[in-house]
Amino acid sequence: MEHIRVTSKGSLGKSLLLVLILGAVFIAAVNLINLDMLKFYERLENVPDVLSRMMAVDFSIVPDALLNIVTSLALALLTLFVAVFLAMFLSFLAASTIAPNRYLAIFIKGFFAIIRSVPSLVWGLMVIASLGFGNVSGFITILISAVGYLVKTFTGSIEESGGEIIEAMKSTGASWFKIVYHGLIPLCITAFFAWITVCFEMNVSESIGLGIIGVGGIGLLLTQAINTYNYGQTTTIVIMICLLMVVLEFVMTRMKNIIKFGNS
Amino acid sequence: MNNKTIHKIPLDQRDSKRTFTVVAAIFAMLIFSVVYLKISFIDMFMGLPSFVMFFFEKFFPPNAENLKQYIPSVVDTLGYAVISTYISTIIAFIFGILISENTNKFKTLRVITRGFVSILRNIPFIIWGALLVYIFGIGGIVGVLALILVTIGFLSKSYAESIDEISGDKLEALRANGSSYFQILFHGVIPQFVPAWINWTLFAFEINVRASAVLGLVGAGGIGVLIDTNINLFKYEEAFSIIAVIVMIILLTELVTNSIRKRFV
Repeated sequence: MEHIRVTSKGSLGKSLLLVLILGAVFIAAVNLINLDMLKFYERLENVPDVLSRMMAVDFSIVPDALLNIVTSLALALLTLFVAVFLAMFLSFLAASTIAPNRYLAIFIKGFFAIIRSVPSLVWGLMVIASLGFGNVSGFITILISAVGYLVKTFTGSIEESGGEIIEAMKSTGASWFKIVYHGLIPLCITAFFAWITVCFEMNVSESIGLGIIGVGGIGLLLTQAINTYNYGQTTTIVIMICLLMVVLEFVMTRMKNIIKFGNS
Repeated sequence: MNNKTIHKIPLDQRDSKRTFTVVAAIFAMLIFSVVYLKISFIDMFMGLPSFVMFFFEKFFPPNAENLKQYIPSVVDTLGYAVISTYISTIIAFIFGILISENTNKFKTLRVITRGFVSILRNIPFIIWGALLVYIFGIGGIVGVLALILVTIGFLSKSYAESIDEISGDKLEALRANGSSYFQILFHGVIPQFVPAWINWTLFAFEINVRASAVLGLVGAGGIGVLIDTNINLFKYEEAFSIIAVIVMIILLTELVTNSIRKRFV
């Protein structure tokens, strides 16, 4: 019986080479950083003890945690609203198909590329250093990263789908503002809305994370529970955060589908 | 010139009543948030300008004297990202196969894996970091562990979606030929899955680099520790140079991953 090749000739050598390279990178990475495995193994003895103490739920924290969840959500919502306005404005100036000034567009894109590359918690540290702890710092921090994200995605959507409409409207002599308001916004609004729901999820998770470094909300409550070694409260708060995020994901997916397919 | 009085053609045919209710509801929620958070409008709108002022006063110019001392932390940060991407890719691939309907016919198993993965994914990574530091104590390996958990959550879902997108026809053809499950997996699913796999893994690597740069804030090692200490000691200029280093790392990573992506996908 003739043997039929399933894979193309030479592919075995190539994939072996690839595996070798990838393995070498991995071993190099493990060797370059000192992971202190010994210390880790020593500590592993304590782990069952800690875990068994964490297997408790403390319901007395639930009302407080709910109030703090509302804080986190409110922070995320407020920021989202302001960020959407700023990003709409900026992205129509930055999208290369409609931008009134090419250099301004390049400047906006580059500026927000740099802003995006700073992780949001680092922004958080800088903002807290300048404005102190509190909700205003949280607002500014999330605003910075949300605008960065939305400008990128909005610009992408406009550039992807706007070309022909812009040309058609330009040929009728419509002004820049009219093209944007009557041509592009109705066209891109569904795409925008999908990005906005993603951004809201990110905002909520950021506002929870910012609690770790001192902005209010459920994250701060968790940090307090951790620092006071309150095992029951820690578990309860983590469960609540998880539930919140799962519900949020579900609701956002639903809303995205409703807007996309229009069966409201 | 009398034909100027032709009636206006409405440019939008939206249901104005519904739009009004939606807008009103959004505004109500916003006002509630402002009141609940006890933010004054002045603080809110002056926050950004005053932050920018402070930024240029205190953080500028960056102090680059100790640039050489950062190198070990930079290597650590990148190393954590590499190791966690490797390990979580392998585990996430197994989970992805378990979640996708194309490769796993047992519904209970699918649902259980999906639920487990969504727990991993939905808790923000910094919370994972804080929790694991709480359980295992401070150290670099805890950072790697946190990154692995979050990346498994992210990658499993993405992998499963990509496997779902593989057309069922080809797999059915293979099945009709009498191929075994593993033959279908290795010759039907994996070859079609490779481009998506490269894409998602590179994406996960980018996310991991960002995450491992800040995991130091909760005591999980990497360059984040340096930022935290310098800001707490009010050495803003030095902190700024570290932040600049982080930005460079992240931009370089994006450059590298994008060039790999162009080559292979």
